[in-house]
Amino acid sequence: MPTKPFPTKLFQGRKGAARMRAFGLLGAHDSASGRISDSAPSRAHALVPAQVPTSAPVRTSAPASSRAHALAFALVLGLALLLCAPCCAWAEEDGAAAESGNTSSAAAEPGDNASSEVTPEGTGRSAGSSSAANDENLVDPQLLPDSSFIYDTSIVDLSQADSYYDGQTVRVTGEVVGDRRQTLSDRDHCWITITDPAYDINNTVEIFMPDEQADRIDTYGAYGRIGTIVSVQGTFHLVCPEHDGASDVHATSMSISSRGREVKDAFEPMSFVPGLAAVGVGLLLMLALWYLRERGR
Amino acid sequence: MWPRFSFNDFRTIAHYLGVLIVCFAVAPGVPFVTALLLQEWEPASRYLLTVGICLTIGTAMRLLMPTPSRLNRQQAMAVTGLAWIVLALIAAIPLAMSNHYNTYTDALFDCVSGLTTTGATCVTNIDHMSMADNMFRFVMHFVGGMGLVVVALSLGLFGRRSSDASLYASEGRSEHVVPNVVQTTRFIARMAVTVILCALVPIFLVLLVTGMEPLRAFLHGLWLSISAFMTGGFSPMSTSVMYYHSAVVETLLMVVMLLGSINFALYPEIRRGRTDHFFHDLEIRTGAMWLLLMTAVLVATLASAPLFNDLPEMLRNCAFMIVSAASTTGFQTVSANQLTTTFSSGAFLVLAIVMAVGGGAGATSGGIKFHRVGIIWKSFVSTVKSALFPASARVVVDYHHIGRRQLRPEVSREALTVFTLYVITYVIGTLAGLAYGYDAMTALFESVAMASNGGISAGISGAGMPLGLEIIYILQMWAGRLEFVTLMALIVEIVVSITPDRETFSRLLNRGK
Repeated sequence: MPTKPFPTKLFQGRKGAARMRAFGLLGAHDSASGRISDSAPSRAHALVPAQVPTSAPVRTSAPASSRAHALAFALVLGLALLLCAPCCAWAEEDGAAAESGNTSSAAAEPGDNASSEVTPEGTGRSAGSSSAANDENLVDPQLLPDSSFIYDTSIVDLSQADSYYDGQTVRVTGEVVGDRRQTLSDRDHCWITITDPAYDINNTVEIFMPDEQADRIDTYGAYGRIGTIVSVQGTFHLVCPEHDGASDVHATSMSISSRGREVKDAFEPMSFVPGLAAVGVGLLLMLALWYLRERGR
Repeated sequence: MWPRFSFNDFRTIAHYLGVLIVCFAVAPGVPFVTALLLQEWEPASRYLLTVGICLTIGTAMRLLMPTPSRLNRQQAMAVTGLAWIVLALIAAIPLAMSNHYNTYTDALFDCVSGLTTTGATCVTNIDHMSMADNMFRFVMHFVGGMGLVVVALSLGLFGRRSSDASLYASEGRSEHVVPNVVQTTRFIARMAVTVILCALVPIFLVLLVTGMEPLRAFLHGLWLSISAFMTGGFSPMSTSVMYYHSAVVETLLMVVMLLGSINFALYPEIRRGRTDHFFHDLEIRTGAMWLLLMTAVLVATLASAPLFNDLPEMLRNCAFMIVSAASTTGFQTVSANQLTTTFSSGAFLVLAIVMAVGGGAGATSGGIKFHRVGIIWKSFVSTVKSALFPASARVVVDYHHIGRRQLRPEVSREALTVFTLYVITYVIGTLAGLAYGYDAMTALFESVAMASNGGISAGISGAGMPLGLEIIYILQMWAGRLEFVTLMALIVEIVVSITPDRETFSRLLNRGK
């Protein structure tokens, strides 16, 4: 099932940055340089109140001499921690799920020959981490909510997709059927078709992918052939302006879940008996008709 | 007093239907041979059984009257009307036995769609369908596009009799290309085979270049050529013509579709060097103006949507959609989902109107036909002229159709009657779709697609559609192919025949007393 988009507008602009700082999503603001330090806390602590910088001036009030005040402060602190605990646990769980979603694609899918993903650059999926490592980028994009990404999507969903899916990064799994069609305008790319393995109705998705990825497909499904089951990740276009308005997925990576296989149509002589019998009866009747006609002359 | 069928009439009709069924045994014979060559044993056994069923049932029906009398006009009408549904009922047997149809009715829907060259389908998992099953679907397109009776006449199955003309006319064909009916049907068959072979070669080469296996490229080329010239609309893959992602294939198919939707009576005129007859023809002029106008309107409706990169690409795609809809072929370059989600309601309506009007009369197209639209326009001109001129003046309006002709009242009446019947059928189908809870625009589009034999689906027809609606769509396809008159005359005559007349009724009443 597709996830609902995160309200990114809440965290855009100056007010958004302030909100993010308030929720501890960004690092502390350096008042001198006007920059934000890149010591951003992890998303696991997103809902923990922002840390107070050690260099910030601490307002010194009159010493709390009375024990009652100290006890009350301790109670309030304890209560606050108790309330924060479920939130922290939720945040940790959410962060872990997001992390596994972003990195677990290389994990083996059930199948006999599951293999690692291949991106067009052949470097695996490391774009996010490389950008995070970039010193110029002061914000770790992995920590920002990303509404352009829908994880595991079914072919049925894409076959009935509305504009919400347009431009989203999707990942679909299905059987490769038909043929590999080379594009005449772009010799490095080709088209493949994947179908929903449920086969209940004709739900298919057209995939536009680089040749080196398509080379790994061993069988194209047809009568007597079950095609390779592949998992394709890419950008879905409800109406692709590059390809005559076709509905397609531009693949960025592909993993193979299981190899295709031949399903030989066994020759069973007994299955021809009803047909031969029917033809025999038909020929006998034709003979009878011919006889009746000849006799009538 | 309505004419009635006697028992002898029934026997005669049964005999000639039997002749057609025996002749139809060739149709499953083609996929049987295909299956044997490609070692598809399970489909081979199904098609052998179907050949046997055709021979058995057909000959048994012929035995009801071994030496039949000559067909009269009423009998010819009944044979033509019933042939389409009886053959579809038999053709559905091997398809229903495959794993690609949920029910027998789904297979029947596909067979009626194939024979009437509608192109809508209820098949499931078509991408794993055997070559033999696919071959059978396209053989049905070929036979249906040519016309069941035309095929039978060209093979001389009914002999050279005076009834041949009424048989020919009752199948929705009004004109003889050459004076003799049998020669006309043979001319149509020769021309169809020539065009299909000419289209097959370039399409096969293009598919080969794109990387398809030679056998698959050849069969896909053959099937697409048949489907395009017969203005059928079936395709071997679930994504229709979109599957090939080839502008060359689309352009070639567009040309073949246009050739299939031009009145066959006009081709001999070109061969005889009378090109002016072709270009002055009412149908050609109406069709050219209509297609240009509707392409412009479709481009305008789609211009605001970010569908295409540039204007030439948009024009090519819009022209393909218009030709596919107008010829009532039904090839799709957009999915049913795109039709309903990304197309504006205006573009949706334009395609429905183009399908409703259809292509040329005396061709393989369905719908109201350019010829009738032209005649109705001329009638309108005639009416306006009559109002303007003095009462004593005799208003004469003429038109070109293989020579200059004068517009006669009976021609106008026939055009208006068929136009009205089409509109009524479109409305009935729409109301049925609405009753099943579908959106009004989608229901209208689907109803038009069925009755005009257009076949572009907005998503209603398909596996799992409601049974009642499926039956209504089957009837719409059947009625649309026969252009109503034959079917309505047949229904009326059957109803009258099975209703006891006044004498019999009173005799029965007296016996009861």
